[in-house]
Amino acid sequence: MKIKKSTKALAAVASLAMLSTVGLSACGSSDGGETDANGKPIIRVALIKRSTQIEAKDMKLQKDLEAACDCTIKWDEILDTQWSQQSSTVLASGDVADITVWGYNASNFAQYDYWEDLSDDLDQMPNVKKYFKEVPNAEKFGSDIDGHVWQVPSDYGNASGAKWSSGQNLMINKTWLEKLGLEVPKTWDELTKVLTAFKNDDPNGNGEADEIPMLINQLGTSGFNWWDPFLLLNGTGLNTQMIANGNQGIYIKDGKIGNFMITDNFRQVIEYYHSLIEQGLMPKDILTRDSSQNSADISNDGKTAKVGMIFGWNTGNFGDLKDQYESIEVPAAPGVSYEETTWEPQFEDIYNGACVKAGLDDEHKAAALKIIDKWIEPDTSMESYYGDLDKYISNEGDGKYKVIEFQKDLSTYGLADRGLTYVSDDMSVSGDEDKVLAEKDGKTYETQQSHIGDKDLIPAYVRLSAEDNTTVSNNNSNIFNYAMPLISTWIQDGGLTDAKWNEYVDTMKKQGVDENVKLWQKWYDKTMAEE
Amino acid sequence: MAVSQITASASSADVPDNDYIARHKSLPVRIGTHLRRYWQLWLMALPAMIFVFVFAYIPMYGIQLAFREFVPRKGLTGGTFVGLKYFTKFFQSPQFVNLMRNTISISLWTLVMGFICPIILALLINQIGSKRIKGFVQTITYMPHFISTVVIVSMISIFLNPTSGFIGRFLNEDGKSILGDPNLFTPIYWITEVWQHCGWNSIIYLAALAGVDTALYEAAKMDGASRLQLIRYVDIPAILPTCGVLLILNMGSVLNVGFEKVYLMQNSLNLSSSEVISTFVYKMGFVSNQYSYSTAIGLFNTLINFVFLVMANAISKRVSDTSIF
Repeated sequence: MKIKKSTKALAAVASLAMLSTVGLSACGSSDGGETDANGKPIIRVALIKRSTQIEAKDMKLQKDLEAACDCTIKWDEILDTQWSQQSSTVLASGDVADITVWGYNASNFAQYDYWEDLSDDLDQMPNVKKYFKEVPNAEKFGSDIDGHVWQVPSDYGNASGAKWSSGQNLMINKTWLEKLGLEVPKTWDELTKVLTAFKNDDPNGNGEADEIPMLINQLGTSGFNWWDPFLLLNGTGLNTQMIANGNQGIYIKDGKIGNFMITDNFRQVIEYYHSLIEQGLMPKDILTRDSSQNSADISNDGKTAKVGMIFGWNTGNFGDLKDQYESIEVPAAPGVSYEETTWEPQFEDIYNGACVKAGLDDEHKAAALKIIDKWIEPDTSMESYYGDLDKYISNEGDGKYKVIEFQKDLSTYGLADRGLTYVSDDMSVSGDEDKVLAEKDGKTYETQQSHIGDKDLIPAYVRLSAEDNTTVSNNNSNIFNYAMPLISTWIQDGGLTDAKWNEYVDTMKKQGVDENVKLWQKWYDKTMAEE
Repeated sequence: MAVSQITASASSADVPDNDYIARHKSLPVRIGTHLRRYWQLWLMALPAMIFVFVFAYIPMYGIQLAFREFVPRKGLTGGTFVGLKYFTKFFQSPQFVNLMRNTISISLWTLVMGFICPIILALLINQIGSKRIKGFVQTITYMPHFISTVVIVSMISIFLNPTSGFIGRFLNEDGKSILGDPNLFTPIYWITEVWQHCGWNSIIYLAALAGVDTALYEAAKMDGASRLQLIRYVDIPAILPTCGVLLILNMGSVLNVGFEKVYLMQNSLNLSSSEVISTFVYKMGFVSNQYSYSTAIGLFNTLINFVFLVMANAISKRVSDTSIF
């Protein structure tokens, strides 16, 4: 009797254990071959979204897409803050969604073969075919050098506000300038004078010396970032491309690739920043300051401005104080003419769009292609970007669209840039406030951007092979580990002598700067030769 | 001598030796008997055993990734075998020496101070007479343990702010934050670590002290022992075995410097002393997608930890006769 009981209990536990392992293995092997109750295919679509964003299932978009594909859509909605971590794990496991929008980029497509090559499926997607014909650059953006098409990118075309802006702006308090009777600084010397006046002349008029003339972000530990202090390099005539290859220091001048970390321009910027700290124009602890502290100072109490100048996204950074600030052109370094100064290039209006998982069965693949094809139709596109048609945006006919209610943080009613969008040349959108702001900021830099020569820009479709990319990123890890503490110390404490600089440059070259430049040059030349 | 031998053999012939018989039965029978006798114990241990098997042993097959090229399509085991390529790469990396030095210095400081401080705190709290004050002090000291690392690091940077921080305004280097000083990274790390976990870690010692027979204190007092002598001759011997076990357990994670805290405290100025193995693994594995390389580094880390654990256990066994295996 006793034995029987025990075996029963054992069997129960054992079966439980087996269940749990079965459950585990089920996670790893979903083939996307699911069908719903009516036998229609279920397509999993992964979206990478902002935290404030509407849920896709509440949008009219879902009904429109489902009607077109005769299938059921299941959304996987992932927050963009989590995506940077999650994408590596998903890539390692290979468990990608049937369609992923905005999530993957060209280097993912080069490194992993989880996705369907769409080059032979274009006949099933007439809208996409037409789109690629009208915008050959979109096809190029979505393909690799061997002609595989890995994704259908989004193209916001001339309706985009972002198109006019680089997203990187140097902003100054113009109210302070007016009050002190100063001009917008055109050179670094003038900039120093303006910042000194900001410090000494109590421009915010509260009788306290609480003004911080200039704030810069902390330096990254493994690369350069958005709104990086070294954007000032543009004032020395070196175009940075900070959000692309520039994040590892790679730049191009007259078709010759280099690393700006070992240029004299770079040294000039370091020394200039140190002089600002020495004169008390930037806080001494600027490189260890928490970003929350900076943003607290930047928006202060919403009434009295405290900060004179920052690099940032747009004047919206200043909250209620935004009307006091404006974007200005980057001042020129000593000995550099205005014609030589540049600024970050404008955003590509083409950005990552939708890719389809490889190895889907015919039924699912056909449905997935239909979804993508429908998504880039004008009405669906607009609805995806701004929210439901006739509620948030209206079609005025002749390709004219009008935003009825603008989404404050870009994505309250629609998916904005996280969905799939194609705006053709004969379409236009009115009432987009972000576009207005971006256009205003963008116009500021138009002239400086025009100083960028044809061969001073590495196009986004220049990519390294997976193998070379590994070499480059290993070198970069060594380079930045060596360089960042030195650079930061020189900015904070000074002490940069010729001997130290030469030693730094020599070590940097040995750490792999030379090798990286050579590899980038190789792939740049190769890609350019294909053109 | 001979007589006793005879009686022994005679008695073994008359009275069967059950132990002897049981030991010489066939294996399945012996297992059956064992299970029949102890099945309750096995049943209790089973969930934990399954858990460890599923989540600790099965994933170990992934270790082979450290010896293989990682090809996503082919899965963990599909890539070509490259032997010790990734280990050599790590040992030859210019960052290797620096990484090891940082990791070891941060972890040893944390380990040693994090081991001593809770003991002292427990001995002190134990001296408090009033139960209410004792409870109050205990609660206050273990409270920080529940604050998340992210918040702790924000607090550290606020406290150490050279202009407004309540510690930083006294401890700054000419207006610059000490968070940027590479020489001070390790002290800041372990002092805050000890501050956060000291109270919590002292609970186990307090429990051991509560178990001390009060007769011992009375006897010692009768012999004229002072307060310090009470601690020296009664309290400390009472908690010594607990200390030993905890030290051995901590040794097993000697190179496991908490990733989040170091990563969050890292900035471009202190990078030379704040890059440790775990942040390096993160940067290699998740940022630049080199899974094999970071698996190799992780495996190396685990091996070192394992060696330390075994060493500490052996030393402790020899010195104080306390050991976990």
